[in-house]
Amino acid sequence: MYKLTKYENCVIRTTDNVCIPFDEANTDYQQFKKDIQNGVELMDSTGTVMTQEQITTFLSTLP
Amino acid sequence: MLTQVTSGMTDTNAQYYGFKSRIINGAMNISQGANGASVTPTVAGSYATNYAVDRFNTFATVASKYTIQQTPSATETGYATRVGAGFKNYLAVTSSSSYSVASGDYFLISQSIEGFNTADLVFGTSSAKTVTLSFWAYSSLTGTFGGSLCNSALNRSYPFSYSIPVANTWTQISITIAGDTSGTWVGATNGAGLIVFFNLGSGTSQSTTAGAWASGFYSAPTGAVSVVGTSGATFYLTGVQLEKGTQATSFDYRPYGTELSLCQRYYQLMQGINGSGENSTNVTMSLSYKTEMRATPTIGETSVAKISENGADKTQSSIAISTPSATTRGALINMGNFTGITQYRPYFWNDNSGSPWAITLSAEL
Repeated sequence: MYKLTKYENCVIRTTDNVCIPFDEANTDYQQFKKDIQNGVELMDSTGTVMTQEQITTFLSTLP
Repeated sequence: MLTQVTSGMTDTNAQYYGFKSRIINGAMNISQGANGASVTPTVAGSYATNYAVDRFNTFATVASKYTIQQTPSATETGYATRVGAGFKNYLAVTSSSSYSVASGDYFLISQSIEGFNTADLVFGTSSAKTVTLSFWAYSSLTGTFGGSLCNSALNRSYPFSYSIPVANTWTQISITIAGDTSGTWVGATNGAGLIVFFNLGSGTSQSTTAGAWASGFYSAPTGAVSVVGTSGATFYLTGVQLEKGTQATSFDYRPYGTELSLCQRYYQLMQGINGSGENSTNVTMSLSYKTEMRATPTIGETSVAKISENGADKTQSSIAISTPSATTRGALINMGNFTGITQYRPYFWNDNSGSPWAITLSAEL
């Protein structure tokens, strides 16, 4: 599971609380994109689970 | 710097010079993350679950079938051969069960070599260079073992095989591989230029004939020994070297500090950082990395942070870290879950415990 932060450049992987930058060369970021496309839960910065539609919109903003 | 050349080798190829090996931490001396502890790999895991020594990743289609650890015993049966060859450390794999691999399974140890360090091999062109992979291997099992070389897209593979004829005996292996003249290979970039896999067990769909380049992903030669197939079986590895040329040459010993710096492009730990209070629960701290990293790193903490304010300690209730900004050279981090933080007051890293906390930075391939 992942959670967005108040900053727009990274996401928290909640299994180990690391902060993953939105850098295409970062392999954790590559895995994050695969995971949420495969249905792994993504929360916004307030902790609310995002809908598939919201995730699709969010994905379109990523590098 | 010239290195010792094996007697009888007369080639004047530059492969005999220092910094010839494309493998980093081939002697398994650096273990920044695990710090020598045993690691149980997961599927698509994190750095903490997949690295026992720096730069050697593990891939598994099923979790918890084996453990990995840096040098669990300095006096394993036959250790004198390893020590005599100059290797203090090794990467140990121990099978946790008797697992029958399914067709699509693979269990692997690997190192992805950055494109900047393989571009001169010009794989994927008619000028592709021959490379030689050498290493020391040891197992409680005997027979034909294997592995493969692959490109980053995992659609070009060269399965190789080698023999460990005597159990619990260190055996030196050398495999010469003609460079791939086909396929798409990452050039001088920070992507994976070449991936070296050591097989611990692969299914039939993941295996094919050894000794030739093939289209697709194959992690092992057909019929290779499955380490994960025998509970308690061991497989040890050290002295891994990949060099340009047709012969294995003496191991490329590099100063410890140099090897550590090479590793820190992919993973590093930071302590001694300072910052200031953002509000009653959060502090911000700046990081200037020890060396420029391969990519903007994933940032974490080894444990809850302990910081000092005029000698009074403040400890996080649980790990909480994010990055207002980060690049390959440095970052501004924000850590939360403190109490009693004063806005704008300076705060300093302070931990005299046996296992002081650190910031983890991972930009592995």
